[in-house]
Amino acid sequence: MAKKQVLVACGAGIATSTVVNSAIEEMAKENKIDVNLIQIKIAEVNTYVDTADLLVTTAMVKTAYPFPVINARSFLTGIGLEETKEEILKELKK
Amino acid sequence: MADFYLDENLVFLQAAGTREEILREMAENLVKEELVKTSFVTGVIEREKEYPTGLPTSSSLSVAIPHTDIEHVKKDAISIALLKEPVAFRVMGEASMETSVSIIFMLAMQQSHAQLTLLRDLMDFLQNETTLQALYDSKTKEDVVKLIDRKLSLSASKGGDR
Repeated sequence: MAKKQVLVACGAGIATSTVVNSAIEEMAKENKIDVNLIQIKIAEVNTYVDTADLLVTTAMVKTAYPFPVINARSFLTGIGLEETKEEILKELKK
Repeated sequence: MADFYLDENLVFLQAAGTREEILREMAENLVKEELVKTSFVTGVIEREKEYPTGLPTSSSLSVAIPHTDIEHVKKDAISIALLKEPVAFRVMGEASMETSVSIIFMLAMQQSHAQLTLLRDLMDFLQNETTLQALYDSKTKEDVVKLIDRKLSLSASKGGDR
């Protein structure tokens, strides 16, 4: 299975994406999945449009991308966290 | 880990006004305390419009974590406002959903991808109804600083001795 490139983005690329990034890192490790996590500002997503496999973000996405986009707010609030994790795992295992 | 600054001068009790007025008051105070540059004020207000930070929690108290780009910041700090009446903030990552915010944590951070411990502690804090309510019920600025200091990894917090 090829290593997936996962973009983790928030508005400023400093706060919420840091939390989400580390959570996904742990999740991937627990499930023994090798991922290439890239933490960016949402405005930088375009740079990776040809290489990314998945975008996980706390910011609103207005653009259509060729890869799936998963809302990551549950990593901050804890509400619906298990569902979000499952959704991400499913994409990582594809 | 870098140090995170919080003292009683960064705490607002019974804060009132519109969303922008409160954000401005908090941000201008950070400028006055020489923790951020003057550009932080516009930065954080504009950022909130474009990328809102309202977060509904599992308790009845919603929070917001406004912040902006690192270049506006001189020193890592956190400012906290307990709102007299809830104020509507747009929910993070949503086009039109709003949430009535009772507590604002304004974050000043001068490095990307840093402060993971602090941020994780903060998110844990937000997910705990009991501590969130205890924070909201704080009667003095000193109580706020003490509670946050106990729950978050603020290694440079100098609660009250400034």
